[in-house]
This record gives sequence, structure tokens and C-alpha cells, in this order.
Amino acid sequence: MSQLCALSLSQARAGLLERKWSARELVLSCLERIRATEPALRACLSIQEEEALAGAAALDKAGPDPALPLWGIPLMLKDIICQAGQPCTCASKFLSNFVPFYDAEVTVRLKQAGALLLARNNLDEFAMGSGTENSALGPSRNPWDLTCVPGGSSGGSAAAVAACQSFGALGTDTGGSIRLPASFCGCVGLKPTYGRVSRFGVVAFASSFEQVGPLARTVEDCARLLEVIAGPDPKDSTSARLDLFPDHLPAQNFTQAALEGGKQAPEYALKGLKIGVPAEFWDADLSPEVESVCRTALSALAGAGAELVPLSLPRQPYAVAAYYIMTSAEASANLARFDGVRYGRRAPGVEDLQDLYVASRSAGFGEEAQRRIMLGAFVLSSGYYDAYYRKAAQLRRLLRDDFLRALESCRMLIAPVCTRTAWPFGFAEHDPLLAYKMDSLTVSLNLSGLPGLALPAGLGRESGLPVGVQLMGRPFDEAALLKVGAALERLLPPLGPPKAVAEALSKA
Amino acid sequence: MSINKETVLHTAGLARLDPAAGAAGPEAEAALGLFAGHMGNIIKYMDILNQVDSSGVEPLFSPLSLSAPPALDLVSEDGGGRARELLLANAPQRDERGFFVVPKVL
Repeated sequence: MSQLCALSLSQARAGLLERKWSARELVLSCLERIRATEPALRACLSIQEEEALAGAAALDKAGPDPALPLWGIPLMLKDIICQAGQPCTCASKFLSNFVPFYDAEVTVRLKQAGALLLARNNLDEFAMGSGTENSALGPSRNPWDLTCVPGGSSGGSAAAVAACQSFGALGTDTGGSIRLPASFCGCVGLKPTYGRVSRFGVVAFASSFEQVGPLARTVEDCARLLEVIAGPDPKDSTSARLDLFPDHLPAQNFTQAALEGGKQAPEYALKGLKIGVPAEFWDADLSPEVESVCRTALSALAGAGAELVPLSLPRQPYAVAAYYIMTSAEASANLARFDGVRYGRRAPGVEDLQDLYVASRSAGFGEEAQRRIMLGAFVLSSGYYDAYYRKAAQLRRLLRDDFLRALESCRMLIAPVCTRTAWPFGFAEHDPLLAYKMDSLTVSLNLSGLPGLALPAGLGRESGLPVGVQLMGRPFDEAALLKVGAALERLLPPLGPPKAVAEALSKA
Repeated sequence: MSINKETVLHTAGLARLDPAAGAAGPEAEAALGLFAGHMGNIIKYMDILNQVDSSGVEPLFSPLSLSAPPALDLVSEDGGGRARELLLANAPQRDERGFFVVPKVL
């Protein structure tokens, strides 16, 4: 793995500025890695080889620009984030022919920062799932074990980043869809505070839960990406205006925070820091290997002077139920726009308009998308609204209160990302409820809107697969998560190259 | 509560979906039954929320507690005069005058 593509984003950038290598060389190295690994991983739905090479040539001709934080860096986007002129399928048959004519705000910001967009990554259809098995275009595979899922829904992005197909990617996290695949593939992923990043141009599934966030191979790399995409956007009324926060100054200098945590001795970031250890996450039927790996992270933090505070979040056991009620309700409303009239696939041979809606939607949406739309229509329907939707929204407030109370005395909380490592394909094929329950440790941050940083803690001793821990923080306190995450990253053993990738490379 | 096929059909109507699309007769019945079973399991699980006393709790519909400021009512992008063409570019069916075309409504 000595190729350029295996460098961190930060290293690649430093070398670009020193003219040790060109943007073109980085793109070529990533393309070579894509060719070697993509037949096994299937992480990308479309690859923009010509565009990226042309973009690199233009940058190289102009010469490095240190003012652009992502100058010449090849990156990928989850195929739910609009990019003008490129297909945006959301891994759905319905949108198989959809080509947006505008960029999402995050796409604009990446381009303005000098990034080169190289490919669009696979996902669960409309981001509904935890393994990319719900992709209408076929699943992606885990770079550590091709018989296992990469996690989801940003599974293509996580697999691509772990396999060094690019230096980072943007995903979306509605209920763990960045943190879970990052954890399963052994990379770093950050879900920002709700409102931190614009959702303009991101196809909506559950609008009050979603955030765009980075996946990368180091905490510092994640910080660099977040710094570019964060900040208010007049085109998204739910993006938070920072001048409305008189109590604290929400830091935007994420790279600086990660550098402080990563370059100094770990005690600098950790000594005396209060980190909450919520019982409901650690007693949640963790597999023995997950528990053992995650406890090494606790020991490492304590060893560097952090104060671990046991605490309780009593409403956590109800998070999955509340989450699936509310997100399904929002999905049923959001996906009502797919009517076969203005874009997407229209079913042929229909009699009238009603027919057109039903036939186009039934043919275009996969089973899981249809199930969630139906669940949503049910919990919002007359007679059930109060018992389900309103009740879930009340639970949402109680859960958020639990978290905010815990975060008054502790600067952040720590927990495993998932109760187990990546599962084999088909694991929950006949039991959708079992699949929902696998999100039990990630959905709470989306219900409460709080930020979370997932990073690899080690390899499970039975499965040999990556295990992730997540740091969960106060609203708009991503800088603290990145600082502490960078310190923790140095205390934990590096995972090394993913096994299935190493095998693919040795054959290539 | 359990979900029967009638509830599935009623909800499907609200959602403009047909969970048994493409199937007929016993096959359609089986598809509906499977769908009802999965939905029923999920709804039954959601009933655990009834264990929590939430009387008097204000529902939280968005984690962003600050009010969203209204945007100015201004045209910020006009597609360089090509907005209509761009918006129609993904239409499954359109006409030469620049309208979406749909089957008869009435």
C-alpha cells in the first residue's frame, strides 16, 4: 500500500503544496486503485475519470493554491448528494435516469475548495438501510471481508475510503448512516450537529434527522472536510446561523482542533476531561469482541488522564421505536414528490393520473422504501397520529433532555457504534425489525440532533473485522470531538490495510 | 396492535402504492400477507413507547429549537434564462410548448 492513494488527505495535501506530486498523479493513483478493487467492492455507481483528469490538469497548470483547503484532492460523493450534470440515482430504480442540473451546497463548497470529484458512491435506496443491501443497483462489499456488508447507508463511501479509492467522501447520516459504515469498514466518520451543514441539494428522506458529513481515514482528514462544508446557507432554512448562539461560540476551526489533539501528547487533550459512559449503550447486548475492543478505548482514555463518568440515559432503550416512527413519517411525506410527472421513471401503459402515481411508485421503489412509506402513512393516519407519531415526538424530547443533562457535567460521551461487527449478507433479509434494531446505538444522536464522531478502536478477535467507538458531543461542539478523537486515535492501534483489499491488490 | 390486509390496502391507498404490484390471485394475497406480517411486527414493537409516561411533554419535531428565519422573497437564480428548459429536462413526458404531460385526470 505504498501508492500515493494510500496517503492521508492531509499528507496528500502537504505534498501537493510542496510540488512533491501533482493533482494528476493523485487522480491516476486513485483510478488505479479503483480499477484494482472495484470489481470486488462495487463501491461506486459512476466514475468521473475524464472530468477528474481534466480538472487535475487545469489545477496543475495553474499551480498549487494554499488558500484552497482541498486543492487537488480526489474525493467522492454519496449518490444522494446532487452534482450538476452527473446522475443522482439514490440507488433507486425510480431515479435511475435522473440528472440534476444544479450542485448541492456541499458540492459547491468542495469544488470551490479545489477538490476533484472522482465518483459517486453506492448506498441503500434513499439512504434507508444499514448495509447497502437495499441498493437497487446491488450491494457494496466490505473491504475486510467480501462476504459481509460494508454497513450503510453510506456503505459505498466507507468501503471506497477504507480501500483508498479516494482521500475522503461525503455521506449522509440519518440514523447512523455515516458512523455505522465507517465503523464496519475501519475508517473515521463524523455526523455533524443538526443544522451545522446545509442540506440544500441532498435528496431528503427524513428532513429533521439528516446531516451531511465526512468519511476519511484520519480524524484530521475529517476535520479538514467538515471545515469546508460547515456553515450557514441561506438556501437551507434549517442550517443554523451561528450568530443566533449567544451562549457559546460554535468553533469552526476544526482542523486546528484536530491538530491540537493529534500533535500534542494525548494528555494535552484528555487530562481532567470528563467523558460520560452511558450504561444503556454499554449494557446493550454487545458482542464480546465489540465490548472488549471498546473497553480498550476506555482504558486508553483513562490512562491519559480522562475522567470516565458512569451515567444513565433512561430513555435510550426507546430510541429505535421513536426513530422509526418519526423517520418513516417524514419519509412518507418526502417521498410523495416522486410521482412520475416531473422526473424519474414513469410506468408505461397507465390509464389515468391516479394509475400513473401508483404504478410508477410501486415499480420504482424497492421493498424497504415502500415499507417505510407505508409505516409513515400509517403512523400519520387518522386515529394513529397521537398514539404513534405524537408519542414518538414526546419521547424524542425526553431522550434529548437525557442527553443534554448528561452533557452538562460531561464534555462528551463515549459508546460503541454498533453491538456487533459487520454482518454477512442476508443476515436480516426476512426480518426488517431485526435490521432496525441494529441501529440501536446510533439513532439517538439523530433524534437529539447532537454531533458524533466514529473512529476505529481495533479489530474484533473472533471476526477479525473493525470495531468502532463514537464520541457524542454537545450541540455545535464538533471541535471538541475532533480534538479528543485525534488524541484517542493516537492511543489506539492502527488497523492496517483491509484484508480483502490487500488480496485484491496482490492479484491485480 | 396487529396489522391485517385491509389496513395494508387502506394505507397503501393513502401512500399511492400497491404492495402486490405485478402479482395476481394467490400470489398477490401472499405478498400482501407478508407485508402485513412485517408491518405488524414493527408496529407491535413500537408499542413499547407506551411504557414511558410522557403526559404533559411538548413533542419535539425538530432538534433545531431556533426559529427558522424566513427567506427574502427574491429570485436568486434564474438558470441563465434557461430555467424552464432545465426543469423540464428530466420530465418523463413533455410537449414542445414547455409543459409536463400527464394522462387524463378526469
